[in-house]
Amino acid sequence: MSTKKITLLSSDNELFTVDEEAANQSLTIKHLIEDTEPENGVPLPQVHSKILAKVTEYLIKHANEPDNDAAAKEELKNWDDKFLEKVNHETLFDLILAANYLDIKGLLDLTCQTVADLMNGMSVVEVRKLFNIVNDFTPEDEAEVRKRRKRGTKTIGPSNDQANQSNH
Amino acid sequence: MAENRTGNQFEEIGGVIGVGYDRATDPSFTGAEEILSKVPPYSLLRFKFACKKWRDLIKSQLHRGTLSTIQDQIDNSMSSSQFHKSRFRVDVLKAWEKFIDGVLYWLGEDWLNELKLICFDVHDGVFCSDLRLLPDRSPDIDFLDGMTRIEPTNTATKLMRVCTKKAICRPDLKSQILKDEHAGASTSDLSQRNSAHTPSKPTSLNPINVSNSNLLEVNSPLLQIGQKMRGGRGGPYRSFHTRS
Repeated sequence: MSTKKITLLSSDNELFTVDEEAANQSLTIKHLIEDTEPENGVPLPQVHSKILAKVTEYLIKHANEPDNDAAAKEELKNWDDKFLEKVNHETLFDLILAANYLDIKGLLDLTCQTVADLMNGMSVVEVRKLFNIVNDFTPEDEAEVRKRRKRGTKTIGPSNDQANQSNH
Repeated sequence: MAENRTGNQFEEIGGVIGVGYDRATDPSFTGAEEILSKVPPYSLLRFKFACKKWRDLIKSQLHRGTLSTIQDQIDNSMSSSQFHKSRFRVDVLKAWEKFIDGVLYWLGEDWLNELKLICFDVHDGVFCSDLRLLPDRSPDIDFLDGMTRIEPTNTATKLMRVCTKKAICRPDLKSQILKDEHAGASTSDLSQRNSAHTPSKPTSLNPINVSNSNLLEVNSPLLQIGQKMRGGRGGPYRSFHTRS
């Protein structure tokens, strides 16, 4: 039985061919095929070939996801880990955007979980840097936050100074 | 028809994914919410200070997710049989106080009412009868033990005083317990009776079911989350105080 092939066209006019089953994991692509029936490939002007190559790699690997085979699931999980192992932060974020744009739930979950794990041990400053976040808290806001936090940590009972005095 | 698709937000912003797309100029970085939903609550709380947008995003995430996460922590933290061993009980209550302290520290006082709902049925007959803030904003909790009579000489009361310095003795509950004891009722029904005798508390709250015991372990999830939420601050726990 032959499967229908789908051609995807990246923003820089590079063509990627995948099985229909693989392509249909992306709801955006699926709807585009249904709606427009493109003859010269599905145009994806928002995705560069560099990212689309990674996306198609994921789609092909996950085209026939095992339902009950534990060993195959484990193998796929290991593949997922390796898939993002050597990906830099920029590409990782681009993959999130692509997965979101192309509506590929599995890839979105995988990439977001990777970033979430990455954030786990980070400070606020590090996270701002990672996401290019501009701190838009005013000095007054920050003072209020600091005040609240200070208030929250206040303990009942003798303070250290009082405890020291009573020891003397 | 494409308006409802997730990619549409990106189309409005413009740009090509993979060619210098700048998240800093994206007013609604589409992945942020998804990513934040996968960050554990105790880390998530820290990030609410990243920017105003994240603060709002995290607040809404917490309202959706944290209550169920807390419930999960409780569900997996203790077993019924072990709980009623006195030493274990003390640890449970200590862990609770630490945990609540941590939650309030990070989420703020607005969460007091929601915590009251969560804490109401601490465990199998032990109820959080009151949760409030002291003038210095530290939380203060009263536990009510429905499984044992609460009297000054009662061991359970003493143990709870170690934790809270005060165990509330409710005359209505006490008289009910005594009445039931005379009637030969089993103590296993007491928690149900206790619920029935607290009309001011929410009745829709599900009782906390517990499955396994690991609270005494150092790595107990309940203790861990409390410690992490406190940012690992040491020193004597604030609840060891004498209330006036």
